[in-house]
Amino acid sequence: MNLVFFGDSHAHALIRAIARIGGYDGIVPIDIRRIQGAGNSKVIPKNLAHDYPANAIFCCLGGTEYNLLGLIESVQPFDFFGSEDDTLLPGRQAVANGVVRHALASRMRSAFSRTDAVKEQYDCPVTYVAPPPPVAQIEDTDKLPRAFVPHLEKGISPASVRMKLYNLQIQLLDEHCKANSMHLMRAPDQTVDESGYLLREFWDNDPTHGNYLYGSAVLDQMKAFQFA
Amino acid sequence: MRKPQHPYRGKPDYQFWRKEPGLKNPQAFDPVVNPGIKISPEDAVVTAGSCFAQHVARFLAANGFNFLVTEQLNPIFDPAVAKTFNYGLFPARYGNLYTARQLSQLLERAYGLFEPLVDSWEGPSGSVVDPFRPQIQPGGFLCREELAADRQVHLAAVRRAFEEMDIFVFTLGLTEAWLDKRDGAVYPLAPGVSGGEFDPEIHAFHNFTVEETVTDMQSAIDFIRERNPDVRIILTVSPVPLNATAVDRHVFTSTTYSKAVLRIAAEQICEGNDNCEYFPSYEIITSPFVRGSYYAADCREIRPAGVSHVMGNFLHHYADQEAPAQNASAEPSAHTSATEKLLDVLCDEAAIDNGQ
Repeated sequence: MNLVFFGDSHAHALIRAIARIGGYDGIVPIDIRRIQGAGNSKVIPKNLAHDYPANAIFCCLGGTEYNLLGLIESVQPFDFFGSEDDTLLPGRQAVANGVVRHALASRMRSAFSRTDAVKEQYDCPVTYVAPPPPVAQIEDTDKLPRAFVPHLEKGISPASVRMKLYNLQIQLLDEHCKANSMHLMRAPDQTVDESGYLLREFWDNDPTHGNYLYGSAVLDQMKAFQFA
Repeated sequence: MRKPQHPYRGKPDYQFWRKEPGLKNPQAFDPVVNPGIKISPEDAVVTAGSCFAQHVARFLAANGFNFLVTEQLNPIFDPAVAKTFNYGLFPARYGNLYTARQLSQLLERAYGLFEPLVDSWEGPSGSVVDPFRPQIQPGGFLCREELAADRQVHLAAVRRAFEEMDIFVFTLGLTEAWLDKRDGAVYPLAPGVSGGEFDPEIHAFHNFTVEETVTDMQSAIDFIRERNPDVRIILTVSPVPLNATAVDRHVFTSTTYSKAVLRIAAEQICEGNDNCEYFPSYEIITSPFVRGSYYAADCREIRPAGVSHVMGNFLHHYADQEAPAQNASAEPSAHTSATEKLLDVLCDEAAIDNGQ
């Protein structure tokens, strides 16, 4: 049984898990941007089915869109209603859900079209793997990757705003999957707390990506998901 | 030999039909005479009114005017997203204000002096629609609480726009309106067209008269000048015909009634107020001198060349600018993009159909 995972940056948690833990025979995680001859990271290479034969495909292309909108606090801090029961944090500009949804969907369009381009090359089932959920708290921004530093003037957005953005992204993923005969695999239960935030042991210093333990949990989930 | 005297002797050419340059060259038609208002690049300009006001806004923004926008989307979102949700199309997202009553009620709502009984309508797919700007939010609002939060931001932006503006350009569009009989709240669209549900026990049709339009407009001007005494006001009448009439007669007959009422009302308002002028955009588009060439294929929308002609005269007289180097929207070769821009105009009224 061959399970192939195609991702961009999120593939690396799985690649590291296999390198450090091993024991995932038959599962091949690929950073699709690094396939030789791909040339352009936005273009899905041809001949995937030939080069990476699979009984099931798992994809997490893109995935950081919700963080692009909401990880780093914006110049005008905002909040929105994720559902009718939500409340808004005081002092933050209210933005309509439809606006956030439209903005997020626009940013996800590339990931959707690339996933569809993968799917077209296979006859087997394709499952979309949800990106890691937001972390509840970033205790020390000094430990964040250097790329974050110039943008941290206003700090990190509140966890509740980041969670609303993540949930909206999952809604959009779910809708896309249902419309395109794909499954959606959510973050593994053991990696999140009761409110859905990524537990501290599943990320290192980069709050947008899971670490090898997270990758391992996803690999386990893929195996279980395949036989469910 | 001495010519006999009569009241027309020595009068300027513009008072005589046969002397109008537009007879030979439609583009030369210019009915603006002795404008008393000047707009400098620093003057903050606010526009409001019917769909045609959006053309005015777009041209002013594109020609170096200080088009005041007080309600903007959070800068984290792309400009394309802002455009989709009608940010920047109006100074504040009030949508189209077709009647003077709508304008005066918007001002009262902005300052907490009028709280309509109905503050939301049910929209498609469970969404919530603002009855006073039913098409401003594509897809509607998620819930009443979200609409309330958005409205709070919106009405604050309305207050800022009307208090900070130096120039107010208002385009009178319609006399026909639908209102709530219980509190008189006027809607830009009949309930049921883009949200809500029509109830003959609650909703009534009203066709505003000259007297009512003058009273409403005067009330709005007084309200504005109490808070912004130096504002200069330019009134126009939209040349866009009615999309539909609720009166049992031909839509064009209703159009001529409506435009006549608005034109007379504009004249009376300008006569009664200092620093308030009428700008003849209606005349430029509808005049025989331009031979009907400014109406699009649907005989209703205004072609980019017509908007260009109107705004060329506007800029020439009010800003001492020559006609804008034909905005791309007026070039025939740019027809597609111009049409797209035209179609971008948010026209609530166009949503009205007889469903057959």
